[in-house]
Amino acid sequence: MRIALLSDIHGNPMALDAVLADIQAQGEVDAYWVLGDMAALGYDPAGAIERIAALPNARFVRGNTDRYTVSSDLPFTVEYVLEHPRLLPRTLNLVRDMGWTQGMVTAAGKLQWLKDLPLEQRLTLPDGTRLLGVHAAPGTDDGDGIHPKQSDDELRAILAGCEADLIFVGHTHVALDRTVDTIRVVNLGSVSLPFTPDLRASYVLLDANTSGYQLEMRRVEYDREAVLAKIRESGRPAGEFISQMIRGETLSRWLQP
Amino acid sequence: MQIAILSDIHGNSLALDAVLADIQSRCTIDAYWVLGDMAALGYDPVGAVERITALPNARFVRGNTDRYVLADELPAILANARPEDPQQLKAMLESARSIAWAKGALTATGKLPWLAELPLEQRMTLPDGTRVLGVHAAPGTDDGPGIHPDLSDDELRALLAGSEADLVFVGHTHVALDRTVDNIRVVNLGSVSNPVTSDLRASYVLLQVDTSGYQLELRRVEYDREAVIAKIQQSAHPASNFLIRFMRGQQLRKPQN
Repeated sequence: MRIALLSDIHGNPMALDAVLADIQAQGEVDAYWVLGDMAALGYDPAGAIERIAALPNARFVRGNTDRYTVSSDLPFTVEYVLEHPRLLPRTLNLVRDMGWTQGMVTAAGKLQWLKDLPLEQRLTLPDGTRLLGVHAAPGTDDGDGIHPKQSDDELRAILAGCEADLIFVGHTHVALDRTVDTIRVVNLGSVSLPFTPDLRASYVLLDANTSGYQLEMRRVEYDREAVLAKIRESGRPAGEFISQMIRGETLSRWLQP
Repeated sequence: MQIAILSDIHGNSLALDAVLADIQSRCTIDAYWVLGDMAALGYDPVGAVERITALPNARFVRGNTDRYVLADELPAILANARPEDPQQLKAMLESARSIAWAKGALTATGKLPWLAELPLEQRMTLPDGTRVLGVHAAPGTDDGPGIHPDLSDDELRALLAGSEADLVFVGHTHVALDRTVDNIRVVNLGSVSNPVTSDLRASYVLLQVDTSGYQLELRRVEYDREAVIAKIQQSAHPASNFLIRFMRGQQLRKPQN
């Protein structure tokens, strides 16, 4: 069996279409796992949801920005913004993005779909490997996630009690493949909003049979200039905030020295 | 000739339907004037815009909240708020999200370009020579304090100076008013939705005109505010609690002087 795993589409159907075309070009897949952050921070939230909701044999999990879109949640509390006034412009960008995304998704009749996303997905592969898919880290759709600066001990603590042998996450937009003890954790990177010098979309193909499994991390080029044009055409609020990420001007803090 | 003049619909299709039913039950209408604040701060921005754009012989002007939706602006009172005050910060973030929500819904349904083309004012000369001006807040502006009951004659005279009109229709304050200073009569329509006076009904004006003069009738129309509250809750509007306060008469205007 073969599964395509992707995450962090962020309302970018052009990047998503490039990834889906690459998946098709690699041959048939039996299933898709889409690990959250479907709609927000992009030019076409509803278009992204329509595409993934139409995929055959697809499983989904909720990302933190999916939760921000359907609730009044933010990555930080109002009290935290009060203590850190420099966060105000970023907070205004975020609430405008979440409001716009919520309005778009509501008008397209997709809000309930977004609300119903589960926190995690689990599956046992033919060789007995227990698979867990979650947006940020076991048990959570938010926080620091699984990132390259974590020590083995820190990673061990995050994965403790997850009852899985192979864990797929997204959230940080930084691809990663590490094993501590007997648990392997793979960060898919992201379809959109790259936080690494490699601006291509990334996803993973998983081939599994009774004797084991194999992973392939794939990178897919897409037309980021066309995405920037779509952001401008959309008239969306916080457009420059999103465009900076598409242009690769937002390097992950986990990659900074 | 009869003209129905209304304003401040604020995405409340139930209240608008009640007003339109009242208009259509009473007489033959030759034209509609809709004086702004069409979409934002209500549960159904798209439905409100669809209804008014389907009216025959309709003229429109832009309200301040229509402009906020287009330009991602905040009301001045919030744009200049003190972000170190928790209540003001919360109100600022909620307002930004609420305005963006309306924009997302209008964008998803292709209504945003219509909103972008609304003019600041409408003018017409009646058969008896009366020069009519329709504008959202006051001559020359869609925002600010507007034409409200606490203005002295001198203040009102200053606001109307240079308006080049004999009969001025405004909305914006949600407080109906009919005053004459010198030779200029100014009529505030009140509002279709989001009442701030103890009379929670929708209000609008019927203008009846012939060659010998004109007559005005301020009409009040009851509608099911509990049904609106249910719609607000279903919509998951980002400022639901604030909108519901209007429907319950909990946002009553305080005198401004």
